[in-house]
Amino acid sequence: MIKKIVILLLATLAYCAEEKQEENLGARLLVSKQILNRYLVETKDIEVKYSIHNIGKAPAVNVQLVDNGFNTEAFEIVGGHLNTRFQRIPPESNFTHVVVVRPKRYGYFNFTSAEVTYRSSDDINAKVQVSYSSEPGEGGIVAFRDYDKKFSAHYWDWLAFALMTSPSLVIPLALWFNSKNTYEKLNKPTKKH
Amino acid sequence: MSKSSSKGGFTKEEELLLQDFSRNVSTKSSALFYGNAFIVSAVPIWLFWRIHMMDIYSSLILFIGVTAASTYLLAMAYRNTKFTLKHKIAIKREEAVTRDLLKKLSDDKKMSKKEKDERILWQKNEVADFEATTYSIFHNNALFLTIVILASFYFLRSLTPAVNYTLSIGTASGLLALLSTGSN
Amino acid sequence: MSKIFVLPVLLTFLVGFGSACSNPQVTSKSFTTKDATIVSHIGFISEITVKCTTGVLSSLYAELEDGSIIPVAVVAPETFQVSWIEESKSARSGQRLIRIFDEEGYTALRKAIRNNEPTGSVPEFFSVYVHHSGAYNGPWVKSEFIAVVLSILVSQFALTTKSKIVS
Repeated sequence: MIKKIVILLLATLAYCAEEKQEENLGARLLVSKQILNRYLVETKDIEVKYSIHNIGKAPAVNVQLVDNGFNTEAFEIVGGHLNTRFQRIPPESNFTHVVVVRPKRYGYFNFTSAEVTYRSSDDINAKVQVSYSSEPGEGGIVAFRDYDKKFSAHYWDWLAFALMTSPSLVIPLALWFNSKNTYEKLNKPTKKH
Repeated sequence: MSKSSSKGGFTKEEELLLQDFSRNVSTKSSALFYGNAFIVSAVPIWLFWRIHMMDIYSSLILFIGVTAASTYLLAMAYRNTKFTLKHKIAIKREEAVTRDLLKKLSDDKKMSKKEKDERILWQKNEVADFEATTYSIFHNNALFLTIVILASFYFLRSLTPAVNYTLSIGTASGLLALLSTGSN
Repeated sequence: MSKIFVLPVLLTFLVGFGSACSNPQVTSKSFTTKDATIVSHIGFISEITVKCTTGVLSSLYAELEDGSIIPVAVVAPETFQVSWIEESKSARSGQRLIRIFDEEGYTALRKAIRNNEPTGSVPEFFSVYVHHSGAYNGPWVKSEFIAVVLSILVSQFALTTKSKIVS
């Protein structure tokens, strides 16, 4: 009886070890999704960067990167594509994928993870893995009006200010200058050079 | 030997001299100073409303208070600067005024020399007063605006708009009032 | 009898699938971020359409200007995307060259790298340019700077005139 149990135990351990080995040798993708903006503004570009790292020892095959987090009624895609496929990602390599979207509305928005599906090696029978990218979290999209008020150059406001202050400067100066000139002219006839 | 006038202890000459040396200004001058000081103190509110995004209604009391204080200080600066300049200008204008008036009054034989001298003194005083007033207003306005712009857009930029406003206007007018008393 | 046919059919089959794409017709669209005031990096995206006259397109790899070799994304049948980011400060305007390699080219590239040969020696399958017209970094001269300069000039004038009066 004990012998049977020991054999069963060893067999299970061996099977687990083999599975682990396969897992260690297979491809493993880490995807980080980042928003590269300092400010999120309505109708202005939001850059989304997906960094894909294959930390495994085998190439990842038929990698599908799908991001359903930007629905078309709230965002417009201006550059890149949200659903992509990579035929083969070499082991121990990394690269980036960039998508640029434009929000149509302002307010708080939760940036969710993208989903990545891949086969963990060239082998036809290799396991299909599903994993998720990192989640950038919640961000506030500022209304365009507020952004513009804060960051525009205010040239017209300064011009108006200059116009308002010029009477206070020009009138006293002109009056003084006139008087000064009149009396200095009167001094001239006696000045002999 | 000076004859006393009918009014009180002083002759016109002495009165003028007293007026020269006192820092008091006539009501007309005072009105001019306070009016200008108010305008120049109030105009920067435009900048704070449009560029620093201060809400006028919620900061109304602050605006009124700071403008009032700045008006008082700036008027003080105008007065003191004018006093400093008046004598120097008077000295420079003496010759020109004398010549001008003598030419004008040369035909008038009825006027005594003394009266002519008094007229000349009075005219010199007027001219010096006028020039000193106008120049003082220009000078202090220019410095006030420069200090306000420098302070609120460069040095105090990171502070909240209300504090920025109070400190920049306050420093500008206070500094000018202080400097005007100090200069010789 | 059927055996006679099998071999040629098999060969045609193999040739059809085995041959690489020749005479690729390439069109590309590029996109770069134009407003640098709200982002920290500039994004470069190139969307490439490749039509093969004969043969089948293998998986593609791109070599960027900085030397990195990355797999090319497939976004639609015959449409691909290559993208990367650069820091706003160091992103100069102008053309960026991307060299695209097919599977064969990629193998040759890897061999060149292993042998420490310059990757420029490996001929590319085709190349694509991404044009960056420069990004907007904010107004050229800040309005308050002009205001300060003007007011300082006026004050300077006032001070010198005063000293002339007082002298």
